Amino acid sequence: MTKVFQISLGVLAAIGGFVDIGDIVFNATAGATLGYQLIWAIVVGAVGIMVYSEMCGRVACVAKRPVFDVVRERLGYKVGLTTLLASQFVNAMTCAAEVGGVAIVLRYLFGLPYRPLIAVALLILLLSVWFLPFEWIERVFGFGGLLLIVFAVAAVKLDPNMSALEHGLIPHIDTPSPLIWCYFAVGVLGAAFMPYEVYFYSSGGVEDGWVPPHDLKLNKLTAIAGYGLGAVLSISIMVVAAELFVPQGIEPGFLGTVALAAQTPLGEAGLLLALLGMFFAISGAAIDTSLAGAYNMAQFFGWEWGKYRKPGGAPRFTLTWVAFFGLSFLVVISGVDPIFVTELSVVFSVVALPLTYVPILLVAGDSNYMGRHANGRLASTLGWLYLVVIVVISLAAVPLLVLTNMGEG
Amino acid sequence: MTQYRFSKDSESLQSLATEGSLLADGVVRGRTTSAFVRTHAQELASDTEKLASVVDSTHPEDGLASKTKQLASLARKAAAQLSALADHPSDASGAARIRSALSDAADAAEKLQKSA
Repeated sequence: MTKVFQISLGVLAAIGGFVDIGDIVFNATAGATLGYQLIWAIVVGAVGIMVYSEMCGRVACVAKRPVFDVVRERLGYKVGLTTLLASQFVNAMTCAAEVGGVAIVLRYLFGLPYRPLIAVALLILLLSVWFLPFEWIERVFGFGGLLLIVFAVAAVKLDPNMSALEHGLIPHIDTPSPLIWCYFAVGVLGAAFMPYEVYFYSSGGVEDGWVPPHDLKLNKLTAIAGYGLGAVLSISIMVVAAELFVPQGIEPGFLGTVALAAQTPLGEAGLLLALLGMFFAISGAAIDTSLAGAYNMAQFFGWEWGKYRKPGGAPRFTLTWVAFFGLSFLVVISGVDPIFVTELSVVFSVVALPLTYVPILLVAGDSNYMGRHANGRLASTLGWLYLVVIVVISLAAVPLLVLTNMGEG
Repeated sequence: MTQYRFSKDSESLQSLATEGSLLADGVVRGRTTSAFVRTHAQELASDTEKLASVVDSTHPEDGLASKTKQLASLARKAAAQLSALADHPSDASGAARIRSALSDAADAAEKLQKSA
């Protein structure tokens, strides 16, 4: 049981990247639009984020340097500041969308009006982060989010077309609109690399007090198991959407549409499990982004930071994550559609991806920092290979967004 | 209203009506919760009303005038059915009628889309 709890950091970080509000709807839309054609993109994205999370977890464990510490040192103040501004913008947009998402799920569960529920969502998140120790935040929201495994059960119950699913593991374009295919492929890949996942993951490694050599194995296991589970959840959502929505011509535009996909084969229990899973996953993503925002600021400007300190022991850090939630509340209460915001943030975040991932790759491969724990041949090869993927998707994201009218054609 | 836009709007209506019919089906079979049905039916009704207003306010290309009117009227009727589902989220017999009406609306929207 202890071993299961130890990987909770990876589970929570992965849930933020694979099944937050935007990903849930985006994956369902990709499945409803293209069937199984983009299963490969989830797998490729999952392996990529495993490679980079393992690297930044290793750097945090060996050199005690979380990602933004490394970004500032390797990129210098000016480029580092640009990276900070870009990532904080994406963190703030995503956090706002997640807070709105929590309120939407509460509305599905209790049928109460939306706006008061935004305040309830904010209160739940603030109290959770204020009072729960870091390891309990990981456990409650990480493992709670795993209730989304109900989509895997729903997928099995729907008796999916296995040969189409296997074919989906190989990139192929079977649609009259290749640009739409490219838009969704870039979106699915980009979502896997959302920068706040590595900010949260590496800072979490420091919060959890990882020390070499024992915790290097734990880091590897956490990255592989956590993101592996995230990928399974993503694939399950894509599969149920392909099975249920493609034949009926349904275009998922709401979280409720995705929940309906669990209800149809599994009844009320499926619906409730899906909604509870969404509640924990989206809340977890909100906490990921607000803490990632505070970690970034504190690490860049050299403040005291860490959830392991009492709020008064790291006042600027505490004030920053509280401010992230406060700002999110103001954005969502203004009436902005959370799903629209998060889909935009996925696409815009990919523009900032190289600035986040290049410093990780450089430091993880530097034996002056890492000694005998520097990247080996496999990590180095995969790291450079995925950097090419990251650069390609970061260049393609905005043009595809415009050319496809956000995937609507 | 261009041919392309008309086809896309018909597709959207078909999607919304089919989803509404699936939601109503859950009520008929007792496989859902009233809170979920009320909330999601309101969301679908709101989007369908918006679609009806947008279609209504466009200037159709030659040959599309009558079909555009039909589409707007169909969307308004579907929105009314979805609102009724939101108002009575646990009424199984009412939901059965709504399921059938929304299913017909989805079929009609599909026919309109194919005729464009």
